[in-house]
Amino acid sequence: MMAVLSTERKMTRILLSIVTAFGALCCASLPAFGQAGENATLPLPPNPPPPGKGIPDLNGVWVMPYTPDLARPLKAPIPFTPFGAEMFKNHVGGDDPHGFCQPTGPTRAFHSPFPFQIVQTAGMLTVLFEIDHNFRRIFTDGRSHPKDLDSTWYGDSVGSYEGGSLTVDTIGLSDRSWLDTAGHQHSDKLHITEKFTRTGPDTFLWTVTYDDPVYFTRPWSVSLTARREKYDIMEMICMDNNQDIPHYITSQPKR
Amino acid sequence: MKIRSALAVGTACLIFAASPVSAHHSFAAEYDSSKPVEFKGVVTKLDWMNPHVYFYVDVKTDDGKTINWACEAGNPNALARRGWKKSSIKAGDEVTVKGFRAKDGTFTANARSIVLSDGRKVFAASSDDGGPLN
Repeated sequence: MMAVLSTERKMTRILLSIVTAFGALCCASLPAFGQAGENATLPLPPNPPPPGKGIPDLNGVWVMPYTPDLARPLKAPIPFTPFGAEMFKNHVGGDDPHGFCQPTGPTRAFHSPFPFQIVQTAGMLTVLFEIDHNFRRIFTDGRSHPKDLDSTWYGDSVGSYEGGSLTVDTIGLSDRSWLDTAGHQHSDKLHITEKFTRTGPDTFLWTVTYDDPVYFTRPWSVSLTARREKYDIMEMICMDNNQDIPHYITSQPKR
Repeated sequence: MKIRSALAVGTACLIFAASPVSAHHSFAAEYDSSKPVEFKGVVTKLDWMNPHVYFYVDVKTDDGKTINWACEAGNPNALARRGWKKSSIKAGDEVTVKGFRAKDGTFTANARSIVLSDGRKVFAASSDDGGPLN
C-alpha cells in the first residue's frame, strides 16, 4: 500500500513539473499582461434592461467561438444536394467574398473571431458587429416579412420572444455571401432560423438552421455558445489595408 | 489541487497561444503550405491595420541584393486583445520570420513565427485559417 502511495506521489510530482514547465513555456511567448493598447481594454458600454417582461436579456458585448468551418460543430456531413456538393467541391478559397471585404451576410459575423454588441429596444434588436463595423436589425414588433423582397446581403429579419427565447426568421438573401470561411455557399432561396436562449449569467446559446433546397436536401443546424466579453468592441474596417487582394488565387477578375 | 491549477494554467496558455486571429480569408486562398520560407532581416515598416497586420523586412541575398518581404500577421484587434501593440515590432528591429510564401510567387509571406534578435517571440501569429500549424 505504502509503495503504491509513494509511486503515486512520485508520479504526481513528475506530472506537476511537466505541466508547470509546459505552461511556463507557453506563457513565455506571450507579452506581459497589461501591455495592450487601450482600445483593447475599454470598459463595456452600459447595459439597459430588456424592454419588457418575459423578454430574455441579450444586451451586452458577446463573442462566439470562431468557427471557420460549420461542418466542425455539425459533427456530421452537410446534407448537400448534388449541386451543393459540386459547388463545395469546386469552390476556390480565393473567391471568398469576405476576402475582398464584401459583407459577411447575417450569420457569419456571429461566429467570426470578433465580438458583437446586442442592443435590445422595444420592437427591435440591433446587433453591432465589430467585424466590418457592421450592423444587423431584427424587428420584434410583430411585423411580417415584406411581400416582394429584393435579395440583399443581409436579407430581412423578424423575431419574436417565445418561451424565454428569441426566435429570428431571415429571408430575402442574395446568393453572394458565403456561410463560412471554408467555402459553404447558398442560393437566394436560403431561409435562416436562429434561436437565442440565455443559458447562464454570462452565456447564451445560439442555434442557427440553414434551409436551402438548392444547396441542401434538408435543413441543418449548428449551436454555438456566446460568452460575455470583458471589454468593449473595437473598430474593424476591412478595407483599411487589405493587402491580400492582388495575391488571391481566384476565379474572379483581377481587381 | 496543485495539479489541477497547473493543468489549468498549461491548458489556458495552450488555448491562448493557439487562439485564432484571422477570419478574413482561408490560408489556401493566398499561401502555399508546400513553400515554407525562413528569412532574417531588418523591419522597414509596420502597418498595424485591419484586416491583417503587415510588416515589411529587408532581407539581403547572397548576391548582395536586398529583397523587401511583405509579411502578413494576425488581425490587430485580436492581437491587441492578447496584449500586443503596434510598438511590439518597430522599423529597425532585426527579426527572423518563418512562414509560407504566397502562391503567386511574389515576396509575400504568411508569418507563422516571428522572433526578435533578443529571442522574444512576437505576435504568436497562429491563425485558424486552414494553414499549417506553427
